[in-house]
Amino acid sequence: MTTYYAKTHEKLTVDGSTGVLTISNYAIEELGDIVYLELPSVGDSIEQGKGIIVIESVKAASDVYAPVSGTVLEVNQDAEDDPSLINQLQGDDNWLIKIELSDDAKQQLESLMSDADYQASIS
Amino acid sequence: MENSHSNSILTTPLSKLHLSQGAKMIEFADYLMPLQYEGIVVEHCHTRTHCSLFDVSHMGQAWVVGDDFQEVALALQAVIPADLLSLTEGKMRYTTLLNEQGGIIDDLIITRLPENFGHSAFFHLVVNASRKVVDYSYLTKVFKAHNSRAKLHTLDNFAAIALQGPKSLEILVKLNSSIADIEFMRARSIEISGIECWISRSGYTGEIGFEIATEKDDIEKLTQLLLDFDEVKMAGLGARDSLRLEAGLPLYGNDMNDTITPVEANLSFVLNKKRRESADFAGAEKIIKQLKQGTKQLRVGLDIEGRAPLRQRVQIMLEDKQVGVVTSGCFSPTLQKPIACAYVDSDYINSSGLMATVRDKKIPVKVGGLVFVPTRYK
Repeated sequence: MTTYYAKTHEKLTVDGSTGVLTISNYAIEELGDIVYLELPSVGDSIEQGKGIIVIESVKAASDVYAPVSGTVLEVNQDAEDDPSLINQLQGDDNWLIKIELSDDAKQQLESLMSDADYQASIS
Repeated sequence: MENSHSNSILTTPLSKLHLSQGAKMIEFADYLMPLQYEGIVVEHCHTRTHCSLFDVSHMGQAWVVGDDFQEVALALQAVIPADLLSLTEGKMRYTTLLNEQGGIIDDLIITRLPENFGHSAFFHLVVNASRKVVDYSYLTKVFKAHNSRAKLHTLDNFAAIALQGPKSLEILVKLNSSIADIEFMRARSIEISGIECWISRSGYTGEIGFEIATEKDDIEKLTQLLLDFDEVKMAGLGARDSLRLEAGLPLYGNDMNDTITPVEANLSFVLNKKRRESADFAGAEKIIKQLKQGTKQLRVGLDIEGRAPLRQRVQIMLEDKQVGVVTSGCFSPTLQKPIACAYVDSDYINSSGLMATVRDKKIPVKVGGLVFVPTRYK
């Protein structure tokens, strides 16, 4: 299992050909109280760099961009019903979607940051 | 007068305290102000259940001074549709400053100072931070045009805090029991721990609350005195915005501007009955016509389906026709649903099938009241 980060604060945890998309703890803290989520549908194809999710905090709406290309395998229905789950800094309930990585994704992962590089980029 | 045109950002005398309290600071109306400390929703809910302290030192405070009360009141009445001549000492009014077209230059609180107040001052004004430069130069021009000896004395050495929430009264009474005697929408001078304060029972949250002005040098000591109570926590502009929107209170710049009249802004209550009859204030002709015939648009509240917040500038549509626009919107922490106020074309206010467009989605909305959470101030 390897964790990758995008400059736009998405976090992708990859296991084989599946990736779990969340936002970084830094982004969670910056956004504040999350009140609304707009998730894609299972089966949607997603393209690296395109906005795929909208997160609304009390303050504002923010886009979440696809860190890699692929297909939506699963969406976090519980978080859509209770968006405050995304505010949790720990545990396994704060995920957004699961992605089946495309053939291009392996190369795309190289454009993302490691945990150490990401932590350095925000400090 | 403070120079708000300079490039340097202004700070309030509490900026150090904000940082020590963990505030996230943002620029607001040329000032560096706290957006939040612990979090907007926590601060919002704490205000509704206990009480919160807001730094409102960015707002403009001024006295209107002169030789003669009547002369000063009449000079102000030229651009303010309240009955200031009959306003009793210590009483305050929420009102608007109007241009010749009846447009709202600012909304403000005006208080009649007690006769023995001194400084030749008859009225105390509190205006929006973003508008103080405009307001002060407009009023000065108006006084001159009416050959009035009324003058503006800006209180640049003053700072202010607001203590808002159901516990605010019992806490302030512990500092000075005579604060209990201040009625809603009244103000007076009261001493707290040797600090001379100008205290009004008023606010911008819908809760019982007080606004306390004093010299800049004393504001930090006063704030600390209040923070020593366990029930008192700091709250920032984020909570201030969601609290005022739940209470149906408008925000200048969002929900009002100088092309919108009080009638369109659904603030006709600021138009005093006697003043409507005498029609002797700026923009009176247009405003009185609107009162009789209605307006093309009206500020209203929206009942919104689902959970998606509607933000400022979201369009309200009836099929393919735009019939309105959201001017303020947030997710209500109290109601756990989105709330918004909008200007809607008067012809379509009762129409069914109104939709707000958010991204590529259409969200059903209905026009409703402006007050989303019943106000409890008194």
